[in-house]
Amino acid sequence: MSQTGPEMVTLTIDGRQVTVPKGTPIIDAALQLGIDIPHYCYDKDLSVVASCRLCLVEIEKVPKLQPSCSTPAAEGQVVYTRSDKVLDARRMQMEFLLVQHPLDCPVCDQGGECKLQDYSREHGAEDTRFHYRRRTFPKPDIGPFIDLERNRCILCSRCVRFMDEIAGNAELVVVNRGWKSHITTFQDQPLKNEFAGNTIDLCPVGALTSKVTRFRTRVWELKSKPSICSLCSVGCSIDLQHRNRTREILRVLPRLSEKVNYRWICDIGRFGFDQFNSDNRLKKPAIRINGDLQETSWANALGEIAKKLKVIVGARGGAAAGGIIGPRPSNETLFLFQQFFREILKSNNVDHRTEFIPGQQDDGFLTSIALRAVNQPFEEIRKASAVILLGTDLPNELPILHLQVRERASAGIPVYLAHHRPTRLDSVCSGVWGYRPGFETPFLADLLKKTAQKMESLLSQEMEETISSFLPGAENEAAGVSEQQVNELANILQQSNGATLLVGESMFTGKAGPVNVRLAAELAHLLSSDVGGPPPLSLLPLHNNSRGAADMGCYPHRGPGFEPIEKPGRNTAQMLEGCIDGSLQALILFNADLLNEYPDRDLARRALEKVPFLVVADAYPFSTIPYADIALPLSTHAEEDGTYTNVDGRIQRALAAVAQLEGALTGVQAILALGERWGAGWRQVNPSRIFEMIARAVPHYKDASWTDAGKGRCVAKPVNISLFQTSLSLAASSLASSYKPPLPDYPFRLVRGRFLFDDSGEKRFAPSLVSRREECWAEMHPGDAKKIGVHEGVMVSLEGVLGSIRLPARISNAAAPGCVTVLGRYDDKPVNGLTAEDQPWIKVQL
Amino acid sequence: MHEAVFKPLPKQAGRQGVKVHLTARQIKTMGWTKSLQISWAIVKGMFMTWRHLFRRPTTFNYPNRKRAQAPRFRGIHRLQRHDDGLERCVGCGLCAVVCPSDAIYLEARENTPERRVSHGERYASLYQIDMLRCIFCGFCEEACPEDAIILGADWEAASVDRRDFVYAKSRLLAPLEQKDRFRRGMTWPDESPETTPASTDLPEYYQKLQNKPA
Repeated sequence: MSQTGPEMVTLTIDGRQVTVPKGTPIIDAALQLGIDIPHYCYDKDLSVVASCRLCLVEIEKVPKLQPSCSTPAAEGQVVYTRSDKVLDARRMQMEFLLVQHPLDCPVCDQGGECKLQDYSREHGAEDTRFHYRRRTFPKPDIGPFIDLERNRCILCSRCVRFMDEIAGNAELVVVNRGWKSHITTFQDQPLKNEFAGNTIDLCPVGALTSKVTRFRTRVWELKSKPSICSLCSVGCSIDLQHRNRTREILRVLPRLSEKVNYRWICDIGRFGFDQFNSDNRLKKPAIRINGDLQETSWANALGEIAKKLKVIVGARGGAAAGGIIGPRPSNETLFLFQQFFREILKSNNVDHRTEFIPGQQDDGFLTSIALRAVNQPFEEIRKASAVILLGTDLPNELPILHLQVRERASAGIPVYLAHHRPTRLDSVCSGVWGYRPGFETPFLADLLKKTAQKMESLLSQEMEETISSFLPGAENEAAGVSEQQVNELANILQQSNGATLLVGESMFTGKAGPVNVRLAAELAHLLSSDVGGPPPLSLLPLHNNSRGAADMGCYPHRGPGFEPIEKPGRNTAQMLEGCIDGSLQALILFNADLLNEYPDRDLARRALEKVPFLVVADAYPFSTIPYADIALPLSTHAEEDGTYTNVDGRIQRALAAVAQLEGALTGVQAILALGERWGAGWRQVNPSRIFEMIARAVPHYKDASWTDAGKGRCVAKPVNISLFQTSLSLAASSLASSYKPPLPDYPFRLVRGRFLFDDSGEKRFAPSLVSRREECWAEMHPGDAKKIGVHEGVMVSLEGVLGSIRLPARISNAAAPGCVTVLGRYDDKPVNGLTAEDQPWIKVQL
Repeated sequence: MHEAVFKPLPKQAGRQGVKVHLTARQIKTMGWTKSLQISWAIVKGMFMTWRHLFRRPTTFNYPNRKRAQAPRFRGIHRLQRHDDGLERCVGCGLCAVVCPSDAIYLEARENTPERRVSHGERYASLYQIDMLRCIFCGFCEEACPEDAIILGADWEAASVDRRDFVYAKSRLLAPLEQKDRFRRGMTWPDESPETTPASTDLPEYYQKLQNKPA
């Protein structure tokens, strides 16, 4: 945009004047006056084709009617949108569109919100003059989510343009000519793209409808509640819609949110709502009596928990009790959970990090906070002049962020990506670099060194030493990135002033996380246009409320607002070890599917077996339930009021969409009831009161309010970094010692990653997502496969020190040599049960 | 402008006729004209009584005899069938949304090649009408795009259990042998031949029903 602003033009529409920027289509200018010109093919986010011909308007001094979507507003234009000529044209065009339409409104799911119904009522003729046999097409199957009914299609091509221009896979196409033209998928394959569901919203007629909601309700029976999607850390604004008079959620629609998801959501969020209707729920508290879990009442279960905990804490102190909460519940639940441990049990054994083992107290994410990283990926990519993605597979991790990065790329912003395997984003990137999995730190160190040399800026002494400790000569070659490639990347980085860095899960979690974050932050500092300002670095934690769990102080060594704790408790790994050696007598698992998420399944299983008193609270029967002494049923996300902090630090509120399942309590209610039962003077209050407590306890949530969170206007303030007084030593030596060479019999490195259509978390309780999920496979390099004689699709067994699984092999150049990549988490394929976390070595056998 | 004028309401007419409940003292003091008036009133009344004794009675022997209905009488609902026996209802829910007393609840499901119930892609898997809520206004009949629901001629819905008044599909659906019966004064709408499946590919469901009429 130029400094003077866009040139404005003034035109007259139906006798009223309006001033709009030059180039605005007349249809948008009319909308500013409140004049709604009927249209099918036009959508403001898609390219203009002017094919439906319904938006024709009369312009003075132009002999023929003009489509208002493709005619730009011009100075002095006089437009009529409701003249006799225009109305006549509309009526005729509606008649043409309805010539082949089956008029099966009673069985069509679009009925009630269909533009054909609306416009033919408003502008159409009363009856058809077409009394011949209508054209019919066979019905195709285009996947488990979307139903394509070609007979109803009016060929506006919105879906085709969306898939091509926004989703980035031109999977839908118009084939054939004339009256035989119809929509089909490319080569009749099922739709694969994770944004395909948005075409349902875009389709103005009933040609594309949802297979998951199909015939389960009519649109006028739906009641809508604003909510936040709970399936990744983007936190898309959605509307949860349930059928009037029932507690069944039947549709999820995106809710406009300019700063986050705009008007799109991914298929996981859109079609995964059946998890809330699942009958496979914990319905009553259960207590273990004589080795069996037996149903009981809440009062009984809570009384038993209080009694047992009092005995354990009384005899051995608070340190004998620990709590692990997953990163998914609301801020209020997370806050109360750590408050229960710190205030009532006087124990600091609280952690929310269930998916990785932090190498030191401050993990990668906390390090980034200490380094003042901005941690606002959405805000950052909107204003950055270049986007650099490190170690992230966005299409599989955060789909909506992937969409926004794609949009920036198509707007001409260069996107660079370095990851250990190719991703679907590669095609829009200006440059892609691959390194070997497990060699993130040497890669980053090398890159930082070269870039600093190129930019002729001096690194601190400490940093120089650390970098050189990571670069013992041959290590660089081992990282799989050639000298030339790193130089090339360094050259690009040197020129990209004003770039922003997004660092993915594979880089900032785990033992090397803090070091990687430190190196990335240093790199970000070099590239930042704002010298001395916060480094333009954002980490991408993956879960619904990962940010919230950190802010609420679910850490053993930091309380709410990252307040350091004098006597730190144990983290997840230490708690599990404590369970095994007997120093931890009671463990509470809250919304944490530990067996499937923890990197060392064997350790987790032994700990859960060994711990004398285990309480598991969850909505669904995860695999931890059989180990529980007391199981508590919780409400699902759709039944609970609460706030969630997304990856951008935006505090957003989700409303309860349906009534709670009888017998289940929300997380907040359950913890408050436990506190009440304990005799700590707690009593049941609304989540809004808990949020007020949070706003008082967490300094960077000070200005947030419950009402503003409901409107999505709250963003967490920058954290006061004086809380982080511990020296940021890079702990290079400890990291180096943690590096272990391959075991003699186990030559392959097991690489794990995320996969969008897998089985993880609540996804397996949504039948629609289960039907769409892709089978787990083991990806190998062709060279390795040849060596051991594995072919594509052959079942191979992956054997680690602790266990083995059998998976079909997939031979692909995407896998690095010497590595076996297994994406996704599957309940029946426990990949985390093969090896210990720091020794990811396996062997592959036929 | 015209000014409103308020007129006092006319006084209610007093009770007319003859006072017959008299005390002994009143009868003694009564004049002969008055006593004649009273006697005449009794005769008049008895004449009316005797006249009705020989008329046809207004009531009738109900369970054995039933009153004739008006041609467009709105009685208990019926879900109609097509000529081929398939259900007309496609479960669109328009009857439920138009119902002013919210008496209709239905759930829809998709027809499968193995189990075809109606002509379209969808049929009503659950269809319930609460007869205690229903006001028999006939809006459902008017809203129905498939002419599937009609208010029929039946009206005897008495029961001693409130639960009996929620009519399920089993009680509403027309029996197979009555598939072509329709209300007097109405004709079937024209059906284009291609919307009706050929009788040769009648689904198994219907064939089963044909063998075992409900």
